Amino acid sequence: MKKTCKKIISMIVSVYIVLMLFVTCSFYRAYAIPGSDPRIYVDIVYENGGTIRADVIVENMPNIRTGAFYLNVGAGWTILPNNHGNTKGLRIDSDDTINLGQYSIAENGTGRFLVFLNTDDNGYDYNGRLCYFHIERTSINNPMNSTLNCTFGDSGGLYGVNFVDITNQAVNPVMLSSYEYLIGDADGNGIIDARDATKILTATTNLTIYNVYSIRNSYTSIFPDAACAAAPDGNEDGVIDSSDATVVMQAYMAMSVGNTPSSKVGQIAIYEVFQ
Amino acid sequence: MKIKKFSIILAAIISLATLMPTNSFAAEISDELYQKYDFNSDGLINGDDIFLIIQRYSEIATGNTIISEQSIRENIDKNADIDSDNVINANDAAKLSDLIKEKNSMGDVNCDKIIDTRDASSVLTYYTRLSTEDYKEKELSIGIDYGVAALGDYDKNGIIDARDASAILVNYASNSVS
Repeated sequence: MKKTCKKIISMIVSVYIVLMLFVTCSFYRAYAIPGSDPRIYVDIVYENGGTIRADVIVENMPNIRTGAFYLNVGAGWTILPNNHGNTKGLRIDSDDTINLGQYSIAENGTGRFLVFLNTDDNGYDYNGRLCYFHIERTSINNPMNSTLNCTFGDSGGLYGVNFVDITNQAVNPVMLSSYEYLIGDADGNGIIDARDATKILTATTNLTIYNVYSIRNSYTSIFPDAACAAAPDGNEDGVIDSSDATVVMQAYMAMSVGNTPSSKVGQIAIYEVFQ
Repeated sequence: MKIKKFSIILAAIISLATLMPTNSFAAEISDELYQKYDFNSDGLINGDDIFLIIQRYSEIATGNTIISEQSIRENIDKNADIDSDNVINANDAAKLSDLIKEKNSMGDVNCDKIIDTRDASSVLTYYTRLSTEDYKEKELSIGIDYGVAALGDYDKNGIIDARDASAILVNYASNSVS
């Protein structure tokens, strides 16, 4: 009898362990990330007729029930109102977008914050375009401020799958060409010195200010030897004016005595010309 | 041999029994606590209250004012952390949606404990708006949408449409004459 009891107890323990292992594996399977990493990002599309569309795309997400995302818009872009005059600009096509369920969108400066919630316990499969916005360039658009960045909401933004790490991705428009240059190197000789400051001062006499983006294709008429339009923009504010000459001079003086400049003058940068 | 078989079956039953969840989330929430989720103090805990959590979450995230009444905001801040993770976000809205589904009957979309023409009307309005191509762009969710989305599938076929509104009306009519 004692032996039988022992057998029963050991059976209970072993079956329990097997079941626990099974349940644990089932949970793992339910929340495992399929394929590559999940991510949310903005894809820029140039539409026929000249409009520019920013698609908010989610990829490789397991079924989720609720979440939120931030669309951060650089100063070089502005979101246009949608067809109904709503300045939040949210656009959704019922044909090709994911079912957002119930949602709310709020403005945050130039950015947008969208919260969505499905009342379906199982959630929906979020793979594809969530929504889109029409955007246009602002008057101060330049390669440095033309980014759109999308991030999922704060901790706990994803119901039931909080451990999923959503990668952030900045997306730029289609790039046509790029140039490597030294910041502040206005004469394109690969050295930062007083001559660069002189070039900038000469070009900006009478308080002339050049927008880097505006002169991206014609800069050689002003700075014939510069590697690109952004090279003389020592303080990287998107415009070339006398303050760039000051920054270049300060950097030159600092470097002359072996110090590191407080600005980025002298550092290698990439200038990209976009469509 | 019989004892061995019996042992295996018994072991499986006991093991399974220990794994079964014994309480739903709603059962863990007392009525007193549930009443605190009436953030707008209209006497009903429904989709409006879910929507208020979403709005408050947006306020916290953006720093903008969305909810006009300060008393409602304070009420949410005090009571809306339903999942007790010390933050108010969309998870709490989802939890409240679960609670509302468990505490109310399917079809009672405004959660007033009566399934009547008002519920049918809300379901029909929701369906009509969803059917409109550009509805979601025109203006965004309203509180009743959350209630309809949670409790509007009256015929439980997985779709909220005019048939649900119709079924609610038929049920209301038959109850009224009986």
